[in-house]
Amino acid sequence: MTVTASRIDRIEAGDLQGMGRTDIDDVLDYVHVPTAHLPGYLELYDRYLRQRWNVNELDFSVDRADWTDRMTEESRQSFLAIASGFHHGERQVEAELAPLLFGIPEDYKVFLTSHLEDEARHTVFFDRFYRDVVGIQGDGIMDILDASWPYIQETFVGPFGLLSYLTDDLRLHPYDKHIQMRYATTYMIWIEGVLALSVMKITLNYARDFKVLPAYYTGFTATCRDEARHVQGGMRFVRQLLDEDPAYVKDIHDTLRTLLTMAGARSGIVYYEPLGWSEDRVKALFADQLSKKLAMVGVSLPPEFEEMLSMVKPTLAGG
Amino acid sequence: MPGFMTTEWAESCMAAVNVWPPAERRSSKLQEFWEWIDAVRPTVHGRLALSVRDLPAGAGGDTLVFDFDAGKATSAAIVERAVADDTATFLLAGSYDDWRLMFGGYDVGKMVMYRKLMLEKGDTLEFFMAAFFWTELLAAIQTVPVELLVPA
Repeated sequence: MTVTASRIDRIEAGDLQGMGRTDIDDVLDYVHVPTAHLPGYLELYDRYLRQRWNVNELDFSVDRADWTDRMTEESRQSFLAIASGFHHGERQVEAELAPLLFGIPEDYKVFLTSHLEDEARHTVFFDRFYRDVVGIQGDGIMDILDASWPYIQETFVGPFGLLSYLTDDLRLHPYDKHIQMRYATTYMIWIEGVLALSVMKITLNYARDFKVLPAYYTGFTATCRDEARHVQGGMRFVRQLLDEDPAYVKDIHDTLRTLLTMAGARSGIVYYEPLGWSEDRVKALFADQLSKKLAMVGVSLPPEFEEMLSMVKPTLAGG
Repeated sequence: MPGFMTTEWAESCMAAVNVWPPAERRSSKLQEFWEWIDAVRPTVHGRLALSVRDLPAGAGGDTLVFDFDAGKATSAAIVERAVADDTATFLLAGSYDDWRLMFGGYDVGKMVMYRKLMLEKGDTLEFFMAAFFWTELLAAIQTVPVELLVPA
């Protein structure tokens, strides 16, 4: 489905309350533009200035009542299994972004400062959700993160541990373009472009279809619009590196090989059915999102990746 | 109880790694998780070094090393960091405080994700090809009784 021009206008110009009335599927489609139409970094920065929202304007009181009175225990558990991946994922992508700033094009540096601020705001969004809706108490951000940790699988540490270690590689060698490409593949293509944009759809479709959790829907749809800027900026950067030297495609392939190998593991089962989904549908979303991101940067995968893709177990995480 | 970074402790760690997981841990996760580890095990070769950056005085060395052949630890020893730098395929290092945190039961996934153990030698993508083999190895070491050193 292609999102229409009038819907794009509504997505681009909507304020925070407007995000609550925007269909999440339109926002997800809005991410994908052909390479030739990828916005410039300063255009993305301008969008950030217009689209920035205040996480403290959200009122979670109706969400709290929905959580306790209208959602079943099964749907709450499934919701937490998915939302906790974002709770931790947002923190990870916030904490691991700064070293990229040193070695990227000057215009991207300007935009990346806004990307970093977005991720901090998304971390606070989930912190507020867990405090105000789920009812977890704690002094600081890490107290709440520690409390939601038991809901996520240990395989979460695969992509997000890799991101931590690649961040350290980048900290030590910020101008090494092979490391930049490995990092961008992990962060912008896989974590933001595939995991986040796939799994966002599950809880947001649930909130939309069952008419619950309005502040969560509003804030997380606004988050998705933010992610659209990050992914588009990241895809522009990946494309720039490939234009400089097409041989960097090997770094994309090597990184995806590691990510897909890890994605073949899971340690527990998440039940999607209480939220109206199935594992097969989530796997199909992953494959679709990966193929769209690779199309945006003009990269294809060797045949050996087909089997790896078929083995993927959905990692319920994003950032 | 063996002391931290002693030969006796290294040998106990190797024994734990080679029989891991115990039945209770095995049953706490899906069988397919262990099958994933079994599938990558034959690819694990070479030397893994686990080092402490700021070890208090009193140990025989600051680095635990394992030599692996197809995922089986064939030897374990305590060496100085400089030796490990020259010989290890992968070297993970952390502060003594963070090692103590791990022995106190801190989640091994967080040890990686929150940078308490960092990969200071070795290719990052290759290391993560066996990611859960390594985190389970840390979990095995975590269970070995050890007498920690007291910082001066």
